[in-house]
Amino acid sequence: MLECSGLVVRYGPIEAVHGCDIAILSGTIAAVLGANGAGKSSLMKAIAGLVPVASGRIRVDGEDITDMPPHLRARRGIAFALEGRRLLHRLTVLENLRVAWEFRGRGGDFKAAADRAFARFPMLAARSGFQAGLLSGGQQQMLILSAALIRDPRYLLLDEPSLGLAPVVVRQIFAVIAAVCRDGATTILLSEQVVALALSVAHRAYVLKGGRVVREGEAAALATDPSLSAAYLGG
Amino acid sequence: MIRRLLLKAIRDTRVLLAAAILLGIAAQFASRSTVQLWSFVLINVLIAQSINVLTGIAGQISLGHAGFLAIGAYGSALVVKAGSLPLPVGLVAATLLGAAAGWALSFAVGRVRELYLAMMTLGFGMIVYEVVREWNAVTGGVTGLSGIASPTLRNLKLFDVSIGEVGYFRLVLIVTVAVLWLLRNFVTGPHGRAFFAIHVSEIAAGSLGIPRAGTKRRAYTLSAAMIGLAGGFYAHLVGYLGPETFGLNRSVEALVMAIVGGLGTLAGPVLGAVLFTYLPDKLQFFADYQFMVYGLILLGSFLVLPRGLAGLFLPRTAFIKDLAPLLAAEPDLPPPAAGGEREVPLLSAQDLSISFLGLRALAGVSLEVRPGRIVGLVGPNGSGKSTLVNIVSGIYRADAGRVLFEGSDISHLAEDRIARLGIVRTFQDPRLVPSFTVRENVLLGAHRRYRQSALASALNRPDALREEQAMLGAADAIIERAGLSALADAVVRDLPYGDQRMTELARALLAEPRALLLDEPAAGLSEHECARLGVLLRRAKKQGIAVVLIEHHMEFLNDLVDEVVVLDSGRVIYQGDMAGMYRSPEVVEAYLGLPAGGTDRQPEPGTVDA
Repeated sequence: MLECSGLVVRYGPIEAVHGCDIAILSGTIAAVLGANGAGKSSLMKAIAGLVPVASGRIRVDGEDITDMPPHLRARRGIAFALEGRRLLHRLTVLENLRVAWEFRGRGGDFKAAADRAFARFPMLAARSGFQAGLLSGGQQQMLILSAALIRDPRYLLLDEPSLGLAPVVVRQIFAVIAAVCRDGATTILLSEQVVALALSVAHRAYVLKGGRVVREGEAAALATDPSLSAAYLGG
Repeated sequence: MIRRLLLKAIRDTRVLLAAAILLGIAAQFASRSTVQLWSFVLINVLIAQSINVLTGIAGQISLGHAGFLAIGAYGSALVVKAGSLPLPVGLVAATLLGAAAGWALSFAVGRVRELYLAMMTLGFGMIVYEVVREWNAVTGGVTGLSGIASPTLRNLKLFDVSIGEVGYFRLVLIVTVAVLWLLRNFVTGPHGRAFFAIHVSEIAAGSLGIPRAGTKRRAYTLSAAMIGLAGGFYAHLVGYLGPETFGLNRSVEALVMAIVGGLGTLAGPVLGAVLFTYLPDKLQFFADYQFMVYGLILLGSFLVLPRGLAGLFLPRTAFIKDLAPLLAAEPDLPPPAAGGEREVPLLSAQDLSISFLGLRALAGVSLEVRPGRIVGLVGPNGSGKSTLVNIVSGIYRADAGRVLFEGSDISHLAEDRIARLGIVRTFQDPRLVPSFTVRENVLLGAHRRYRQSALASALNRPDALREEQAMLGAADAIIERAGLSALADAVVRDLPYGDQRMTELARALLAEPRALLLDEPAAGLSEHECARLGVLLRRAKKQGIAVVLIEHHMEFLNDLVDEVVVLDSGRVIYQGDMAGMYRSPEVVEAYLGLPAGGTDRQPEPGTVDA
């Protein structure tokens, strides 16, 4: 279980997240929705440890990780793929996976893990020797997701996984997200602008506005709720 | 309180002028050594600002700035001493020699970046140092050049009047204040903002009509002119020049003053210069450890003051003139072009092909856009959409095929020339100046419309100010239409992605493009922002702008585009209306994927369970 209680994130005088409470049950997918500036990315970055938390706590399976540096969180099985397509552009696809593998843990069979990644995205297998910087946006997103999944993380944070991707790739990526949660028991928190898409895979959703959770509930219920759009568009 | 006063002082020219006059008067009552130290402060201000222009503003590196200082110093000394010419001629010569050296060096260093740039400028500094050391006949070699007319020797004359330390200080003060005034006017004008654009992304700057090489050349020339002038003042202040003054440590000192003061601000280098003139003087025990202490201060400054002294207690420097925006009467949309003209494509790409490392990115793609039409460009990631836009906007050169704009071939033009013709683009990842406000970023878009020269801008000539007011008005109008009014003075670094994207679009619109190429403008926008984007694009269409729109949001494209072109693996697989696209089996397979509930032949192990 991933829990945030009273989470506050501040950039100088600007408060991006004002006391968020969310709790994600293990083995489920939760979606964070909201307009630009609602605090989605800041919330994700705080959980990943990329921005400091001003107050509040983050707990993973009961363990308080609020003050843990990001690389240790990664080794605890919290993987993140945040917006901005951060890859090692000069390294090949396979080398990127290798770096992620070695960074996120010790030992194990890399070959098998890479094969699993390539089975998920055959398009990457065909390009395993290409420099990551030469991949298209969609392929880079696949690689980022593959790198995040390489050690079968317990928790996965995805910031806008559909950003800039062709519909066919979005389908593939969301299919992988759903499958990873179902088969690997990975708990996933994702943020999305495309509400319908996020609600189609998520079990539960949180709507953020001005850094606060203004709505939460079962994804299926929210998907049919006409008032959601009003709250959402209001940003 | 102090902050407010400082803020006022910095924004208000009269307060600064009054302070300068007070200093000039106070010099009368200070000791000779104090006045001499003040002169050193001013010379260091010029040196630090010179680095600031080059590094803080234009983003170029120089590890050999002492070379320009030496050129200015020896130049002025020789003109006045050997040439027996008056002091002003020497100072002008110092400035021009510095400028000429900077201009010449920029041809070589303008081609390289980062580490190589650092190495090349370091090399330049060393060459000048060696020339000064070895060219005995002219520079006096290691023994140096002495007996230069100086106030201390009582042999310095200005218009036949002998001047002492106080008179010399006043001269340096007047010139420094004038230089700072010109510099402030310059960096708050279009040409100064262009330096920042080059700093952040040369490609994005080019796409706004800002030439890369020319702008860098300007930055080197201006920076070198300033430090050349400082060299001239230095030569006559001390009356003796030796090569050791112009070694690597002087170049490093110049950098340290600017960095610790605050790069990219106007007040920072002044603060840095004051600090680093007084520190070594007051703390004599630095002598042997000077370098170590500089190193420590630099290290500490990066840790505690990432934005320098100016960032610590001064407000951010505005890169916009404090003028009232001139709101032009809302320019009514121009009447749509006559029917006949609409049939002529404004922009047409013909049979473009390009390969990267043997990978065929485009294989004979053609595309046409007419004025007032929106063409959607879609296709799987990696199908060549961005490549096509990169070729049309002049960032890539096609291996085969050509691009016509109004019937003339533009395939071989550089990106800034293409932008100047009116073909303006945005990028997949917004390429804005992160330290600029929304308004400052949007104004960069107007670059191709400005008519004022850099000189007119630096002198705040009335016509330049009027033009600036008009551009401010035009920028405000577009900012409002883009829904960014509340954020106009917010620094874009702190803004969410969607607002940055809208800022980039507003910037492109302020360019008054004839053709607009948008690379995924709706990506990352909320539904609300998408709706606003749609309104902006429909308006652009009404204005007769030809729009090419790369996008993956089909719902967004549905009722917006006049035509859609679908690429797959560098080929056009569909061209026509949206309805037809959904029926094209090829497009469905390559791009749209099968509709939910259909037979799933996707290669991944799972399916979306909803």
